[in-house]
Amino acid sequence: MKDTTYDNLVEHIITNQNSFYRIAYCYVYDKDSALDTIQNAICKSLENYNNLRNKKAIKTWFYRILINECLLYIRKGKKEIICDPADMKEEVYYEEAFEPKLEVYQKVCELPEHMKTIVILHFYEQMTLKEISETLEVNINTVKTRLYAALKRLRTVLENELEVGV
Amino acid sequence: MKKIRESKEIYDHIKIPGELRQIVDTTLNEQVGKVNSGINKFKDNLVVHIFKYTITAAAVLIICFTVALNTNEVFAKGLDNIPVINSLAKVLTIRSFKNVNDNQSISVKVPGVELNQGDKSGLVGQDKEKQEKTEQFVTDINKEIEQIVNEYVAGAEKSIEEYKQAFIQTGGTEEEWKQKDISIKVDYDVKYQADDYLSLVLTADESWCSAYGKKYFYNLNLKENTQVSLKDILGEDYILVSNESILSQMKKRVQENTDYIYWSIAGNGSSDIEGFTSVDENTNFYINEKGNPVICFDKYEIAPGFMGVQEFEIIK
Repeated sequence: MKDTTYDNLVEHIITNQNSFYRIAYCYVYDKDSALDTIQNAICKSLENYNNLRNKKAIKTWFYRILINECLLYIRKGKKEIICDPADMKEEVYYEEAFEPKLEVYQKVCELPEHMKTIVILHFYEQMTLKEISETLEVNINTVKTRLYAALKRLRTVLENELEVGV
Repeated sequence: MKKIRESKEIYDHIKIPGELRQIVDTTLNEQVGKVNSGINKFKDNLVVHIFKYTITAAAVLIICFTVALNTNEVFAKGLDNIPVINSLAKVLTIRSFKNVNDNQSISVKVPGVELNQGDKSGLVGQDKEKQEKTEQFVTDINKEIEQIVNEYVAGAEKSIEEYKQAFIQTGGTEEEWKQKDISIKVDYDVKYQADDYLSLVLTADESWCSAYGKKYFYNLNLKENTQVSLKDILGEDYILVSNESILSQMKKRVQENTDYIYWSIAGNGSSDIEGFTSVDENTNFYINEKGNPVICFDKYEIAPGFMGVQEFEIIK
């Protein structure tokens, strides 16, 4: 059983690497940092895959490791965490029609950590609230609360921006 | 809400760098080698970590023989007694218990070395000192063994508890858990006992993850109060002699079993993963009844897991 779990894990990593990159990028805003973080997450997951007993839990488990690595990276105080909209526009495909969406995206990235994670996982990675609660190891109600708080906050922030005419 | 969903477009358009694929592949390949050599598998297990430190740190092991055995006489009488005649010492089951609870069933036999205590009162001077030194040596070994076993069991219980929590949280039920019949087993095997030598293997397993099985080898010279090394038995060129013997035995086994593989040495598709290179002073071994050393490799150490623990007898 050990060997199949291992194979599943490897397969999961290879298949979803793009998702991992995007998530990491939302936290560290820098290509090289994102690549570093992913590398660390892969290493940690392969070293510790023994702790994974439920094959189906690979997805949430690996996300947990990845997010922890991202947060670890940020806490170490790397300068790259500063979200500079100007920088982001260079990396992101920029087109006129994208402007409002870009703004929303940027605001999402500016959310406090715990809210941001949930928004990204739910809306961008299409994870169910149950999966998110397993990944973050919190009660599903906590997930819901944070999600709604995040939405409320985004709404407020975006309305304000609109009024000021940014 | 809608706006957020729309903003997903930005997220999806985050440019994936060309290097990602390469980095992922490289990292995976690096880890494959490590995982298969079994090293990283044990890193997690704090208990095993402690084991490794304990073993390498202790050069000469001594045990509180007298106290331990006085207490143990009570146990020893009711339990397995390995009768060995005409030797310096015996190995007894110092402690044995079985414990069945909701999480798992634990079966533990802790071995200990007992010196056949001669009449100490008649000894004087150097002889008496020697006897005392040996007693100390033995005492320390027993203490270490006991400590190792306790730590192993505690660690195993903890990780099983965690496993159980995860199992329940992801939808398992108590009945299903009981059906798994998780068990922790610690047992020992006296491989050789004669004259001054004593060879003992302590085996610890958890049934739910065969990768955690661990063996500890104690080869003791009770006259010199030391742990015996391969060099002591096979001589100065023990490395050459052992390697030669191991390699030829590997070739023979691969011939007899078509699906056997010894990484990077013999068998199909053996080249990429690093397997056996050479024995050294840390190589595990025990002494068998013929007095020959038998070198033991952990599962995954030199060959794929299905081949289990690999042993090679080196004929002196």
